[in-house]
Amino acid sequence: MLYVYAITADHGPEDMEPLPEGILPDTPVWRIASGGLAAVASPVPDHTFGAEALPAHLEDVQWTRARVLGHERVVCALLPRATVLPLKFCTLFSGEEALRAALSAHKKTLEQTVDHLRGAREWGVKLFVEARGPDPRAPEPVGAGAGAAFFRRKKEEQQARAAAEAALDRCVVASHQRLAAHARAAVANPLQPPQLHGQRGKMALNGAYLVDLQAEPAWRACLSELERTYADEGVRYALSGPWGAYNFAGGGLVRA
Amino acid sequence: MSEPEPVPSCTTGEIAVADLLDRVLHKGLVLWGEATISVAGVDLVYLGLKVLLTSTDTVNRMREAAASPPDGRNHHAG
Repeated sequence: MLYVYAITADHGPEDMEPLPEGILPDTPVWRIASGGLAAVASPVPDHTFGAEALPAHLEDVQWTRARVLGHERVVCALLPRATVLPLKFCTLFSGEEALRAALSAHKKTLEQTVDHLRGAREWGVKLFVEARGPDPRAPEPVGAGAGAAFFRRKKEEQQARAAAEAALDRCVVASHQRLAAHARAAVANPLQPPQLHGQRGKMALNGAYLVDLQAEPAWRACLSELERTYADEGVRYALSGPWGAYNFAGGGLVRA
Repeated sequence: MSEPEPVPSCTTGEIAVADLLDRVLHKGLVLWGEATISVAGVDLVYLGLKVLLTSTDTVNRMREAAASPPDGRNHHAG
């Protein structure tokens, strides 16, 4: 059977250079051309990737992790060579005939996606915010009026928290809107919980941006400006990429 | 689980595995054809990576995946 990493188009001359190792050790990576498109795929054994065997392998986190990295390694290697439509992990076909049939059946949609992605790259921007330490506390009020002072302070703290939340909301919205304005397409993805992102602070934006190559300097300048604007509010931006355009390759299903 | 090795990024140093999984598992083009282990496989991945993926969002996706019967084309007769 065939493990398929990506569909490619607009192949440059460097596309003939060898690709890295495939999804399994010592597995070759093939290009299966169909019109102006090509599928990039590796032959994989049924006893590993077949419907019977795969579930047990996927339960092995280390094995799966190595396969995910293998998938990404191939997609990354393709990026400078062609317009790349990265496929979801574990896209498998029974053989070349079935793969060619799918390419042919979905030709129009695939070509439209190629048009959408041509000449642009995906970047990720995450925004983290660190909670401010508690304000240096004034001495606890004592004596007459202490109760009223206590409640007044509680109310002030609540108002300060609400104001900080509102300021963060404005920052998140402005950041995403401005980055999106310099991009061909943009998406705000679900936030990662702390145990997943492993960073200091709380994630407040998990954005992906499809940016024209020509627009990259302006987009990066926009990010730098946001960093300067919001640095004082305890906000930190994390840039990643360039990625295969996973977020813009039609996460929706390509149906016959 | 041993400390995982860092993931090399294309150009900008190391990337978080979480970012990679966000993309490779949750996004990417879904190419439907006769083969459909793809979709079954991805659902299984959510289960297989439960150690790495502990987000509520992922748990919800798993529930959705378990609750909704896959499209008829998932079951390749051949």
